[in-house]
Order: sequence, then structure tokens, then C-alpha cells
Amino acid sequence: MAMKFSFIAFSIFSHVNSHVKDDFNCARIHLRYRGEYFLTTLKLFDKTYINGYHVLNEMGIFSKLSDWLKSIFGKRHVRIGIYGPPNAGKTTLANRIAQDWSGGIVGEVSEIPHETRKVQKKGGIIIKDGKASLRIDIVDTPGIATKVDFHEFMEYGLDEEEAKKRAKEATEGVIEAIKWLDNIDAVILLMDSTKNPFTQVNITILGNLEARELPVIIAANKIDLDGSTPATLKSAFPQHEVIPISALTGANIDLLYKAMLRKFRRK
Amino acid sequence: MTSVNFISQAKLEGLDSQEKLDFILKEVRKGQILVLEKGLTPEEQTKLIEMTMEKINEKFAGIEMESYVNEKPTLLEKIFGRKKVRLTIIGPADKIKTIYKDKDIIKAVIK
Ligand SMILES: Nc1nc2c(ncn2[C@@H]2O[C@H](COP(=O)(O)OP(=O)(O)O)[C@@H](O)[C@H]2O)c(=O)[nH]1
Ligand SMILES: [Mg+2]
Repeated sequence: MAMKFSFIAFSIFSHVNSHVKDDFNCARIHLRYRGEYFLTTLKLFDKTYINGYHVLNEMGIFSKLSDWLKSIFGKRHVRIGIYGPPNAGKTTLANRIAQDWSGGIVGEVSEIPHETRKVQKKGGIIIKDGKASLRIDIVDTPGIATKVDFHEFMEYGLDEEEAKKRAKEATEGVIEAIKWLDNIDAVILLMDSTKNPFTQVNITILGNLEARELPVIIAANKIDLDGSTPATLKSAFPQHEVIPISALTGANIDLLYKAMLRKFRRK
Repeated sequence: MTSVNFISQAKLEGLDSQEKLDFILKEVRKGQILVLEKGLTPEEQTKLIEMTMEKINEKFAGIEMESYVNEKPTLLEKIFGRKKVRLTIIGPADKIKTIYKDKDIIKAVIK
């Protein structure tokens, strides 16, 4: 085993530099083992994705490999996607997390739906509670919707051309948000607690997270508003952890951080 | 006049996922409202949303889709990798609007 491992480690070493994908610790690596080639996308956590012809897993080398790569890059992140329908307050929450723990903002907030039309990331945020800490990358996603009507944007005062452009970008944003489900480790599903929780978007996102077995916390946002009913949301999704918050005022945000530490920390 | 088509489980079972979604989107873009006896899986729902987004333009604003909250799979369903998917209703966004929805009831109006 030691022999095999060093051989593979050597052949990885010659490829690693040219294949590191981005700042998020993902490496696409070609391995050669007993004359066969394997293409693998390694995430430098305990989770490993393989896009290859063969499964190397049974050889038990992935954990060694990822430990080894981890020691090279020295990082251990959990990538957290903030998902939800348009206007739930995703960017407001992403900004608050960034401001509370690292400074700076993630993106622009707006009352006009689909303000965020591209995925926005902020890496290297460390959340702490006493001795416990968690290093995260925040991924703020465009709102997911089943329809995008450009007329709606005109009601916010955009002219027709702008409204159509925004609608087009919004549809692309929805697709991008869905695709990003493949690239994240955990999700904060944000819902507007003044609205009916049983919407298709909420149900579809949750169903996907369950199917992928991704850890999820539901945040019932906007509890500062009259008409907010986080209890409805809790009873709608009894099998999930629901934390009522206000991303805008910061109310209860400490409860969300505690839940994130509890739920998203890797063992 | 808008027609509402009730699609049996048998009709869709003969199709693979992609064919099923192509069929649904084609019907919906023709202005039909579909009630599927056996609903779409979460993965199919997201795929349908992606396909819908690609088709949205000035004349087609997307779809309205409603299904029920997915119940946690039972142990048996887990073992056999099948989760019960309950009825799904899908229509063009400009023709159908959900007015009430909870765990067990969907109320929609057709314009
Ligand atoms: N009252 C209140 N408004 C909020 C809260 N969070 C976000 N908003 C508002 O909701 C609107 C949409 O916020 P945004 O973060 O852009 O939503 P996103 O589309 O989900 O990213 C903006 O007008 C925000 O100021 C909250 O906790 N309380
Ligand atoms: Mg946003």
C-alpha cells in the first residue's frame, strides 16, 4: 500500500499545479495507476467526487490523498450556499455574515427581485462560538423561480428594454443557482416568514437537498416585520431545523451562527 | 379556452425523465394545464425549472408548478431508493395562479 500510494502521490504531484480549479480548494487531477488513467475532481475535505472511469475509493487512498493535499494547501473550508426564492433576503444575510466575521460585503441588496443575477462568493470567513470555530465560504445565489415576467420589473420603474435585459439575466441566474448545488457542502435555505412557506420553490429546493443529503438549516427571515409567522414555517417543515431571524436587524443571528457551528462543522 | 389535462401515471411511465420533461414543457407552452397523477421528483422539478428558464421570452413568462411537501422517505422507500412523489400540477404562468396552498391542499384559479 505504501508503495502504491507514493506512486500515485508522485503522479498527482506533477499535475496538481496546473489543475487547481479556483480558490475553493478543488483540484481536477489525472491519476495513473497500474497503467490506467483516472480523472478525478478532489475536494479537499472528507468528501470526494469522482468523474472517472473507475472508483479508486475501495483502495482507501482518497482520505490519504485529501489529507496530503490539505497539508499542501493548509485549508479546511465548508462551502455554504444561501438559497431561496427572490427577495427572501439572501444577499442581506450574506452581507451580515461577512460583516460580522470578516468585514466587507458580498453583494448589492435591492427591493427589486432578481437583484443578484450571478453567484457571488466570499471565502475564508471564520465563525466562532467560544472554542468552536468554523471556516466557511459563503455562496450567495440568485433567487430560484419558476417564472420571470419582465413586466414585473417595469412596475419598479425600469424601462422596457432594461426590464427585458434583467429578465434574461434573471433566467440565467436561476440556472446558475441550480448548477451550483453540485458545488456546495451545506445550505442555508432562506424563506420570507411573512409569506406562505409551501411554495414550489421551497419544496423543490428542499427536495433536492434531501436527495443529495446535504445538511440544511432553514432560516425564517424578516421576523422584524408585522405579519411574520415563523411558527407556520416551523410546522411546515417539522423534520428540519428552523431558525427565525432578521437578516436586516440582526435579531437572532447568533442562534443561526450556533446552529451553523453545530450542523456544518466537519468531524 | 384553457384545457386541463389529467395525465395518468401509465402515460408518463413509458417515457424516460428527459422525454417526460420535454412532453410537459411542450404541452405547457401550448397553453395547456397538466395534472400529473404521479408527480415529478425533486431532481425532475429542478431540471424542468432549468428547461423553463431557457425558454422564457417576451411571450412565455414561465410556469406555475405546485406539488406537495415531500415527506421523509420511510425506511422501505430508502432501501428501495424510491420516494413517493405526490401529484403535481403544472401550467403556463399567465394561465394559472395558486391562491392557497398548505401541506395537503392546493387551490388554483385558471384564467
Ligand atoms: N424587514 C426586513 N427586510 C429585509 C430583511 N432581509 C432583507 N430584507 C429586504 O428584502 C429585500 C430583498 O433583500 P435581498 O437581500 O436583496 O434579497 P435576495 O433577493 O434574497 O438576495 C430588500 O429590500 C431588503 O432590505 C429582514 O430581515 N427584514
Ligand atoms: Mg440577492
